[in-house]
Amino acid sequence: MASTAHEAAAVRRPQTAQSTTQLMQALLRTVLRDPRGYFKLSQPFKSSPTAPFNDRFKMSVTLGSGIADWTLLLNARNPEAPPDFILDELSDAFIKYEELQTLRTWSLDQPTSLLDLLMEMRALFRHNRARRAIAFSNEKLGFELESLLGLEDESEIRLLDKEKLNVECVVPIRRSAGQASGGGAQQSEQAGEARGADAGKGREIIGHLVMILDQELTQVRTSLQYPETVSEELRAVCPGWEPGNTHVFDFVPMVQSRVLQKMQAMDGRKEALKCLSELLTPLHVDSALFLRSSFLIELDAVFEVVVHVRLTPSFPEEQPSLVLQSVSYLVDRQPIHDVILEYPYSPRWGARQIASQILAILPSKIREFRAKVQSTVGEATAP
Amino acid sequence: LRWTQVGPERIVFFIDLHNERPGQPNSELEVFKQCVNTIILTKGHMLSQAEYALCVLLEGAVLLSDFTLDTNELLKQVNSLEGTEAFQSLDMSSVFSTLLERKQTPLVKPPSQAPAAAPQGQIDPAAQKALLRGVFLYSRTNVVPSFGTDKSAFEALSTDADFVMDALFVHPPPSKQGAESKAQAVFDFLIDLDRSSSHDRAYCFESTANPRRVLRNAVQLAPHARQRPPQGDLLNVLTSSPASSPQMGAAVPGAGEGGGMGAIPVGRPIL
Repeated sequence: MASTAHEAAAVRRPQTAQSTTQLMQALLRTVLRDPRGYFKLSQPFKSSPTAPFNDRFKMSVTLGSGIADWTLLLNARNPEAPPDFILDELSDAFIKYEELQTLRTWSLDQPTSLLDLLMEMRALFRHNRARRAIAFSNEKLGFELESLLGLEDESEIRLLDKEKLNVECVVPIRRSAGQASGGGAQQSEQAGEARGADAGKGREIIGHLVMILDQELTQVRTSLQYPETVSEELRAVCPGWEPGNTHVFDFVPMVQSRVLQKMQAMDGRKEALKCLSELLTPLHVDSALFLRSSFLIELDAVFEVVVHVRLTPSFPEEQPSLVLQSVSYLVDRQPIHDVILEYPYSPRWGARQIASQILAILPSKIREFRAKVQSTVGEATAP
Repeated sequence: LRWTQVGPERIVFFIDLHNERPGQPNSELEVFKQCVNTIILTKGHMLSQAEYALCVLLEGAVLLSDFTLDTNELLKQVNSLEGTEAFQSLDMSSVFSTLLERKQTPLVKPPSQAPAAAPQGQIDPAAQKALLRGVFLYSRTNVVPSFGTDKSAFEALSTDADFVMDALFVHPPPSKQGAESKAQAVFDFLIDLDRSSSHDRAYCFESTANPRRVLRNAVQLAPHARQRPPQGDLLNVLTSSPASSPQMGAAVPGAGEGGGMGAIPVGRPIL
């Protein structure tokens, strides 16, 4: 059953120079442009045929692993009044209007007002839904859920069913602080608890840990969910839950660390190839996973070789290998190859030093390769 | 540019079967075979998504093998080519018609993937996004290619941002070219195929049939055309002297044989 009434009174403010329509549009734009992408607006329509503009919108709200459908009710004839909502049954159970702080401080002049309100509603939903799951959990499971909220208060926690009382937890995994991306939540003086929870957490979410916890924690299922844009090679394997040995307070940080390590490994490879590309012009760079790069080199004006630098997902712990390929010396029309796996190297070096080391050893390695190639092909076929 | 993700590449090799000396071994064809092997095997190291088609040049272009991911089979075909006769003309319209038709074929899917989803008669959108590259391997010193009356395919592809035509022209040294040699005109023709404003999208090489020089040029045709810098920037020159630092993008030195091009447009070399 939908609920339509709300009790908070509108705060009347003086008209500004901007038209009402522009102010309304600013509210909606702020919601649509929010980088977290929790809210999508569609199907605009008017509250009445004579309304001056569309003041009703269907909304899709991302809540954990699900999507809720709300209807946003602005008021074209009383634009300064705070909005009303038609909520789905589940949302209605967890969002109480009297608890919404941002409704009391609603201002049409503040472009973030609507977004602040929506974020607070979302946070309230999440909070109350988690509390309900904890209320229905036994002591063992309740302890784990409280631990989770202490670790990551933006986790989504919900009761999956009323019979077995299994609980689903969806935990966002973010890039570490040192890798914070440019976008993120902006501080707002009027932010309620919702925005406060997100403020400072504007770090990019790179995946989610999903746990299905049973009451006795003996049949816990865990998985990692990634956006489609993340390739298979960058996805970490999710560890399993060991009944009796695993607890949320160390399991979640361990998984987060594993996911980040996999991602950071790519950043490290990219940096190494970037440094190498500053020393040598590459023929090619694997710009998807930064696992390979190739260079055409002429040594002492007499010998050309292609050097293929290969990194593995374990770089820098595993040192890069170098594959040398002859250019003008062929056997049965095929180039000759050699692989260099060992040379002075330390995984503790920075990217710049690793690149410099590779450049330093190349002349001698190419000379040795040339000798090998010439003995393979024979002087008779040398150009 | 080279750090951007570049998408798949579809390469059509055009191999000239012309034999300047009928009845004698075709050394230019042998070098072209080595070039194709070098390009494909080098690309194999680069994990690039590339599919290859094979055409031969007689008096026009003849398609021998449509796009394939099976490089072993393609190279077998390449290595078995024979060129025993001389040709007096080359119709470039057929070259570009072949390229335009290839552009409209769906991408080849590996056996593990589902067949292309594009309904019959419709152009595969993935094929439209791939880069189509022609690699034109030519050896006729006395025959300047011509379009005849139909340049429509050429005009269509010239304005297509997802098309590039590379060329590699192999010719005798100037001292051995006869009075009727049109090598310069051939080279000018090939350069002018690149209608981009700065003539720097396509790579165009010329040299004698010296394998070292030709293969050094050929290996520069391996990188994805969307990822490569202007021609002439790819060779790194190293010396054994520890005091030296690498010289990046050093131009390949020109020799008396008249080969080895660096950047093209201004002051085209005289062959």
